[in-house]
Amino acid sequence: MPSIKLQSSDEEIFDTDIQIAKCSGTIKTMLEDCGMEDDENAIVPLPNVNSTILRKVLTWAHYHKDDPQPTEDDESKEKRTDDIISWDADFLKVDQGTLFELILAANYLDIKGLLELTCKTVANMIKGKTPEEIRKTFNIKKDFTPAEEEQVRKENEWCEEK
Amino acid sequence: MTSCVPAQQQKDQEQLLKELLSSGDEMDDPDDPDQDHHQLVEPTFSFSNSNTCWVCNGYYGPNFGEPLCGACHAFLYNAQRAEELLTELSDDEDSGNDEPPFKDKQEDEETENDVDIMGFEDLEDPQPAAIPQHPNPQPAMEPHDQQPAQPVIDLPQPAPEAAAPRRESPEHDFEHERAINPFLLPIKRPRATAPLALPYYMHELADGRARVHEYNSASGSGASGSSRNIVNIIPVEVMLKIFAYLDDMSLWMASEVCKQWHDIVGKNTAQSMWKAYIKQRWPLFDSLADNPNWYRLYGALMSSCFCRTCLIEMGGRGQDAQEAGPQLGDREPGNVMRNNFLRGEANLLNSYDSEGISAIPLDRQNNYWQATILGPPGSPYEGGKFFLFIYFPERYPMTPPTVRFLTKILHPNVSRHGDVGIDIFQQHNWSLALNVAKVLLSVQSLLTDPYTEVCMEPELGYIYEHERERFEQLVRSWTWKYAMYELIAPR
Repeated sequence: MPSIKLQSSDEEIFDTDIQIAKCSGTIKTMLEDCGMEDDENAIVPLPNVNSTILRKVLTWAHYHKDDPQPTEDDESKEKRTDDIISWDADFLKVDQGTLFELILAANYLDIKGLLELTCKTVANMIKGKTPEEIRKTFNIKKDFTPAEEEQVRKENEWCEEK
Repeated sequence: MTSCVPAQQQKDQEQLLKELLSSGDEMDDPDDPDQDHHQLVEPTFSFSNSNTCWVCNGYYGPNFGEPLCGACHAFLYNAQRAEELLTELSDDEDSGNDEPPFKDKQEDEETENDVDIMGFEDLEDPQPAAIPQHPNPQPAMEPHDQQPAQPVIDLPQPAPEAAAPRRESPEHDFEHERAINPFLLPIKRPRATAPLALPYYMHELADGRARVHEYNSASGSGASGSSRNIVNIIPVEVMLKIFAYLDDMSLWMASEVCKQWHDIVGKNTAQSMWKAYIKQRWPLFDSLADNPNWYRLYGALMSSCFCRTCLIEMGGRGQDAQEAGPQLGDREPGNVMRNNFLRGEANLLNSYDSEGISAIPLDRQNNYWQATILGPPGSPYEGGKFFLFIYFPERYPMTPPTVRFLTKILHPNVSRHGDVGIDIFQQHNWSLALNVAKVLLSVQSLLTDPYTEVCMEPELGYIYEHERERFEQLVRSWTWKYAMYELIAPR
């Protein structure tokens, strides 16, 4: 089976099956456009992905290599977040930093399945939580007056005008 | 000598004055020191000790600005089935053997009467279309052999049917809005997930700080550079993908998190979407403003509620029940009497419109209802429309319903979670002669006359008894703030 060399940002080389590498839209286009498909020794540089994340991405791609191509965004279909298979759930038991980097990598490499999966995971972390809880979960600073407080202020203005 | 005495006296006086001032501060309520300052601007009130869970005082976890922490909420309010088990137990324990047979007898009588009343009511009511819950033609000629089929067709849930014709217009509007911004999130949001249930919290508490770990990892990644924060590293288009998986309530909650998310949600959601969801979440809400900002209005309604966990739960339950409807109905043909009872009540309620109360079921099983009470004229609640949540247990009308305020209201007999303290909601004081309308009317009359002998919020009871003027001022400001969105749409 033909393989291909992927180079991470920290210059580690990954020898990868070409079929697996092609689940990434970015790599696929790159290969096709540059005619690198036949060149065994071609190295594809991926300056936006470090080796740790690339290894994870390739593990995921290897497991999901036989998946059918995800269809284009279909809005009539309900967006579920509770259909994550257990392998994926285990795969994503990582700290938030890694999760976000996986999202960025999936976005950059244009891997629909992985992007969908990671987005779902983050959505699940947001779902059903109150704003303060979400802030705590993601360590977000409150830079903002909630609607409620804003509301009170607005009404006071109204009173004063009157 | 003589010159020394006045100086000494002056010193003493100063000392005394200081002591008086400081002791005054200590003795007063925690919110009192601010009182003078605030009264000039606007009377404000916040429950003492409101930054921890008011049940466990923070022992079982943080409350994130809600009245209760997640674990306490799951334990006290989420386990409706467990509540019923408990009431069954207490039935066996107390008051001897006389009551149950007596009740059963009454039940039979009531059922028969009720069916009659029902039939009568249904025939009498020729224009059901105006009212969301159309009385079914079926019950009028309801022989006993048809009973198994009964629960399936009982009281059509208003949301889907009523929404069907209406939905055309939001979708039409949506197309217009979409023409301006093609990235708008679709109008149909995913289903809301129910809040975490008790088993989750049990596991978590037993597991020892599972969640603490989760938060630590978050702050850990934050500490290694605040630039690795989700807000900073995830690009907007990916955030939009994430938000696409959120239901309407979670989406709104996310918009309250930080400026960036607020902008993303504000710019990429359609007014028609929020309008549609106000219709679904607050079916009894009827905006009188011409063309309000629906997104703001939705936010205002969400923040006008005591407990967001309850809101999420209600939203989730309503939807789940809608979908599970037919099967559930098939499985439980036993509660025909309950359904008849409830259907009768829905009809009865129509005649109470002038009293300022209304209620409609949210799900097919009629388990969850939403009700509104208008603030009684002459009371400081006047002008407000207060939303309530009613849960009818499986054994209703043998067991009392659960009634809770959704809209924030200041009242000695309403807890900071919205629970209403009236004796009729206790098993021993509940009577079959009571129904939804009577329950709502008694809650309404409680608004005029608080009962301060026993208070849900003693602090408020004290203010009511001793500082009536301040109490009314506070109540008016809360009514103004939280219960008048129909009249004054938030800008």
